[in-house]
Amino acid sequence: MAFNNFRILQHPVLGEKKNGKEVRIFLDGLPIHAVEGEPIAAALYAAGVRITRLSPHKKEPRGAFCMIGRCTECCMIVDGEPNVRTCRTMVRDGMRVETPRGWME
Amino acid sequence: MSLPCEQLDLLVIGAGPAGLCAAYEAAAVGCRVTIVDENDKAGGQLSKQIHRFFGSSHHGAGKRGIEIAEELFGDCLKLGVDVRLSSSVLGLFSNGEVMIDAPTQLCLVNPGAVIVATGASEKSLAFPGWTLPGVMGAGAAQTLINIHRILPGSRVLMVGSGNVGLIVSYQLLQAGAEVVGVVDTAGSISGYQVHAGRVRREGIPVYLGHRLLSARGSTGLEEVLVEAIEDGTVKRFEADVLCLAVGMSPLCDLAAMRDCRMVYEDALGGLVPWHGADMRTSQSPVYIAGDASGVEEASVAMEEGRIAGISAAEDLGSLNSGEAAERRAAIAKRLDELRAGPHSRGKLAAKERLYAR
Amino acid sequence: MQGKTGSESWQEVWDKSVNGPRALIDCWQEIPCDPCQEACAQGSIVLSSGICAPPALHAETCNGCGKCVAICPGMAIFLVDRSIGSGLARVTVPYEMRDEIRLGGEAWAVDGEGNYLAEGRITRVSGAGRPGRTMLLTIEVPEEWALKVRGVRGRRKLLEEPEEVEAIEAVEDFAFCRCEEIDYSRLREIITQGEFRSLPALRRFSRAGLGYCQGRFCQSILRSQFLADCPEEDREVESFRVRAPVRPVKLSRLGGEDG
Repeated sequence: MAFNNFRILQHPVLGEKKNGKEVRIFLDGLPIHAVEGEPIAAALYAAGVRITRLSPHKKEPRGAFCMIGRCTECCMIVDGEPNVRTCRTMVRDGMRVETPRGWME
Repeated sequence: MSLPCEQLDLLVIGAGPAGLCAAYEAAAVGCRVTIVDENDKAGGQLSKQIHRFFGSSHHGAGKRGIEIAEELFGDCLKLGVDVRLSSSVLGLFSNGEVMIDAPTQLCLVNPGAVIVATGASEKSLAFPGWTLPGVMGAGAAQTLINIHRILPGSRVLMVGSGNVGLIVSYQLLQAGAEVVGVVDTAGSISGYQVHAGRVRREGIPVYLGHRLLSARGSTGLEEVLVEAIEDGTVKRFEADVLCLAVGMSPLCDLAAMRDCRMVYEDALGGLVPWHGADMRTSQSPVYIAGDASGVEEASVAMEEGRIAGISAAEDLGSLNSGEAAERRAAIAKRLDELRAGPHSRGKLAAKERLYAR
Repeated sequence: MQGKTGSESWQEVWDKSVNGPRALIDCWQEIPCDPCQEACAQGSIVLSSGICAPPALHAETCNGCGKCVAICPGMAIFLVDRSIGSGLARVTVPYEMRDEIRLGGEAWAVDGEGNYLAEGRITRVSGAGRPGRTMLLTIEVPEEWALKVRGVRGRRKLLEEPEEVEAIEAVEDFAFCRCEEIDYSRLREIITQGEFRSLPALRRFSRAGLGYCQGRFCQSILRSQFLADCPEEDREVESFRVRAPVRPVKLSRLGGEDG
């Protein structure tokens, strides 16, 4: 998985991106590179992952919608804890993130 | 359960333009001020605004939002304002107590006065396909690109030609995304022409009189169908991101919870707590300021924040009423100037209706 | 000193620009904004009354310093310079985009709609490599385009037109309440057949707004739909009652446990 595909390294107003400390999180068991200080949902976008959960009844894919912790579409299972808003939860090295797949879990 | 309850003088909820200005004004006349904000950085919406702001020198005009945020925050720190970040207010209770979810613990505070400056949240539209990953609020995309420096995708269609839609389109281009168009049901650009000009000169077409039909894709957004209202022709845009910039609504549930009288004003974004020109709500000692009192520009939020800060300082005894009235009048004059243009007419009328109620 | 606003001033700018750069101000709406006036050391930009008045330029005294170009939040001020003669003009534009544009290189001059006007040499670049600064780019174009140039671009590909497709017939159904997955058709059936006079009652019956987001996200669209289907209802339809906690919090934390 390419690390920098969706990362904005150069920016005409914000300049060069300062290198944060790189950490590794696991999405459904697969390793993903992330940068310390960023929320899980952002790290997933950077890795090109847009699905945060499957809806409970119809199992439709959902993704982060508001990025400010209101819509709850980005809720995932983090280190075993369900319903964690990943747009407001920062990555930690070794964190295990799982995609909720409806009520069937 | 019993939590220790900390006594505070003035509590400001929200460290955006309104909250920071409110805290500054009150602290400047000797109030002991505490600000809480649920984000890990102060500045509110200013922290993701990388464009230069309108207004006058009182509002940091000509500077970028991120620079204004730093200045306002720095000014507060210099005055010794106690800033508590990553702290969400969970409730504002009728006995005056406030429950805060702080990083280390849950705590209760009992402030002598509360200024609610909680800002606004994005409105949305419901349409076929709106639940697909890749469909998101324009503000969400802006948070991703300007704060986290991550692109939500590579081809974006923007819905809404208001200032938010236009500015975020421009910023998506700056971030390196392709913007395939801006769509609006209205027959003319809703935002300022200068913002539209910046977007259009980059070759981004603005489709006026067009409405969203549906978003499609299997595991995420792949295409968007848009209909020309006049002749019913349908256009298909390939896009992996659809941004919705269809307005904001005030985030004032804390005021509602505290039984502040609420009033519905379409032009201000929806339900707002009733307030006077002095930013006092129907419940003493609760004050409101900024987008939480009706969605307007950041410059207006700053001035309203200042007024709220002065009113709270007056009620806490740090400012005599003559002096407070004089300061409010000076700021009110600047607010009148900010709201003098045709774009503010509806909002100004709504505010005046509110004050008179 | 009386300056002129909008396109009225452009003729004067055209005339005076034979002596050197002059500011071309493309700002004619009443916007509460005055940094151009503040930035002009010459006093050549004046807002006649209050900060909403469109800026008026006095082309006689403007020295083409470009400070207003760099600070204008609307990126709506440009410089026009016809002093080089031989049918050419130099136009300076504010620039905050990503194309690689080099001094001495060629670029496209575009109009306000992004249409290609001319290819020209970049004769001046200022503010490059300094994040936060607005770059000023000066491009040399045939004189007839001098008042039309609004942007400079590298030779970026132009967007293809969206494809026209057959109109779709039936409206597809979709989840209106994202959390509880209440379909749009079902919700409208409930609204139009029910006797609901308030959003809380509609919420309790339909379950829309009772999911994890607790209606914080969907209340405003639920209200719009309710009013669209029951237009006779009063605009001040009752809202959801707000209860603590207004943000999700773990009960264990309320009980005093960490986490």
